[in-house]
Amino acid sequence: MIQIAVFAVIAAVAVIAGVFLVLTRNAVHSALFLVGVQLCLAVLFLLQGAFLVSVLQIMVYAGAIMVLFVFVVMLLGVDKKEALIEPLRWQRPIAAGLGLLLAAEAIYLALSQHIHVGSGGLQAGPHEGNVQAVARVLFTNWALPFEATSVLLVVAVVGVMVVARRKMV
Amino acid sequence: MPDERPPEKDLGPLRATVNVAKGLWVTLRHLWRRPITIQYPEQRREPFPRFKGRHVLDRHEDGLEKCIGCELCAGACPADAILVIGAENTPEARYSPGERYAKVYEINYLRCIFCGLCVEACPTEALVMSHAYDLASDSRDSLIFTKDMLIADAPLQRRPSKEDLAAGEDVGDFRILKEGLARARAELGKPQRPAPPGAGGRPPAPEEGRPAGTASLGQSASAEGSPKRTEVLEGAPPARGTQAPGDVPPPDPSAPRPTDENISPR
Amino acid sequence: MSMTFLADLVVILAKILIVFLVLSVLVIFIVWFERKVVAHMQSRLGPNRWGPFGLLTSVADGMKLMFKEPITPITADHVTFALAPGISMLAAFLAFASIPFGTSVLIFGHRATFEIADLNVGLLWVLAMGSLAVYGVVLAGWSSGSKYPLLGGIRSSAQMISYEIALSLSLIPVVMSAGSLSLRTIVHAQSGVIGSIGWLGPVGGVGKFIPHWYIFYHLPAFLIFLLAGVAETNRPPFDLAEADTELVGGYHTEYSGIKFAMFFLAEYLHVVTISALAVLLFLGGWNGVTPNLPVLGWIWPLLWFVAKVFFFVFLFVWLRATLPRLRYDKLMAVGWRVLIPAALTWLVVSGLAMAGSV
Repeated sequence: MIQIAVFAVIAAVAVIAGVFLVLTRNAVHSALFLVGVQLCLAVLFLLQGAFLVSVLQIMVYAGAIMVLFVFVVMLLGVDKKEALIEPLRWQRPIAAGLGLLLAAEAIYLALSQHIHVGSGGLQAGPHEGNVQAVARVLFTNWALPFEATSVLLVVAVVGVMVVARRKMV
Repeated sequence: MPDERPPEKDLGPLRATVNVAKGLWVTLRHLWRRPITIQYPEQRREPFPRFKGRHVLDRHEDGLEKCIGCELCAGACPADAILVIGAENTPEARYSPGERYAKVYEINYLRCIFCGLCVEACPTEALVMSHAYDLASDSRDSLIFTKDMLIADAPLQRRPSKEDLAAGEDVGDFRILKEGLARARAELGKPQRPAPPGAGGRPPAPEEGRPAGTASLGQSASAEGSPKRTEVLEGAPPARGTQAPGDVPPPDPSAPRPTDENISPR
Repeated sequence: MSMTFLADLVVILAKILIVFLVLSVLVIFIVWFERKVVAHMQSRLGPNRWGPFGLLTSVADGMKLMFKEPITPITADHVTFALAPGISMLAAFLAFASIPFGTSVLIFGHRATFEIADLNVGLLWVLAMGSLAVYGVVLAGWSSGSKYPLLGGIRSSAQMISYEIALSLSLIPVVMSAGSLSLRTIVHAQSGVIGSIGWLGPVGGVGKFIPHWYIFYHLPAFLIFLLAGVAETNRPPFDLAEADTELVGGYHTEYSGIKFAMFFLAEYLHVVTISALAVLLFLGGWNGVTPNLPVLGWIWPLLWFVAKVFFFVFLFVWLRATLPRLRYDKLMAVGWRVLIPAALTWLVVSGLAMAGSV
């Protein structure tokens, strides 16, 4: 009962923040609305009893990645007006097509019987605890994708260093 | 352009840690020491004997003012902080032994730099500097001291001589003056001795009971009919002559400046 | 809704209220404490006009700030400008949601633990709130629409993100030793004494008098945590976000009145948070070095906890009174080149030691 009420409120806030994220013209405000969406997602995870994922959502997305977004936007200086020139002309129709596809998919999933939408609550959580369960899955079943992701990040970091400090090399 | 600063010496982690520890030890040691500060309004430091504080206008033993209104102090003042308007003594109203006395004597402590040149210039030793140093106020007006605030109620018993200063002895009225402006101001409202003959230059009777100092400033000035202080002191020099009221002789526009004609020989 | 649910709700709300009030009063007290200690370290007396020993000075300051006119610069981004201090203070308060500060007490047959929520990821929650606190500083700096705050905001965001890494890495060995992210479990894992130390030989018996606190196992991690913690709270000697001598007031240059008070509150709350974390993770939390006196019950552990926290608060003040501010490049060099590699090294070393002992 309470869970459904919280879900309704948080979901509504998340959707509204998402809409404003697209509509607002100030880059920092957009980033802040994105932070709002991330925090709402964290609360939704919390409703599912997924404490670890919820806190990681706050820490990693809201706390680290979005801070870097805001940092870069601040560092580069942000004007109140958005640039009206579109550097990548072909991306708009593709974005519209993909967006429609995503919407169709979401509607299909919502209407189909395969996915049960609802909150499982604390009972549905793993018995040994969130941290242990996530760790077990991450480092056994999904060890290879996990390591591949970390390699990808390292490659990205090295690539950035090469691009940014070419003169020094 | 190459960086010409000498390269920084890297202390190394060990010595850096030792240095930080030394610093921490110093502050920790001081935590238990007695503070070296004093609690100012309650406790006051004794000024040195020759400390230059607020001015006082002295009197002779018979109660007459020592100031003769010669304006030498105003002429000597590098900060143009002193305004003196002299007037003739008459048999009915005699303030000072000589021919003239200071009808208006004002020191603007917003400008005064406490250099003491006025004291050195004074031919009659009327102007001396006391030990009162807490001259802060929340209004500009109250820092322009008028004659009734500056003048001593009784003759200063003894001025510190060189011997006194060397010995650090008790120097008479200066002991009283040390106790600060507040007391001096409070005492201004209640004269301890009868006013000098004529009783014009002293604060008149209505002054009694009123907190002297800032409150008496404007009223005493207007009662005496002297020009408005701020205008006289801060207005342009040509305006001074035109604004002086009739009973005060218009001062020389260049009076406060040390020109040859102002500095008369003793 | 059942009665137990309502009772739980009441207890939770009461806990939140109590923690909020205690923290607010604590901050007022710590501000006074800092001014007094720093003053005496500088051979001054410090505040002594309001109340005994000037204890009410901070109260007077707070009231002044509350009634002061809040000024918003004309170039400011108004909504964000008003939001930033709120984010700062909210994050600082929320961090205490999962910090335990004692055992438990029986009230009307209801066992109430000394914390708002015992999350099994409590430690992560505190760190997550710490990372959200960056927003308050960054947004304050950006939204002021003025140079000094912007510089302060950029500096502090870079600094806080950098030192967050070292801070988190230094905590992992402790989590590995305790086998849990729950702060209460970590404290329980630190009860008792070390016991006989085999490799010390004949004097190994001394271990029976040393409490089983993780500082004795993870001293390097503790030192890294302390350094990173001071930097994370933007306190001297790492207060480059404010840097009075260079940036006027840094990110809160343009703030006045109650909004400034909120930043002030957040800064001191962070000090308490980091102190509490250090106590919980490295100094055995509310475990004392003396046996518990049964007469005192739950008060004795609570006193131990408060005493240890105050030791760290004193340490923060002491550092502030002693050390000059680091230059910005030095700060970054220390963070990235010293603390993070050191934390990683200690993580590997302690991991190997644990693998060897299994």
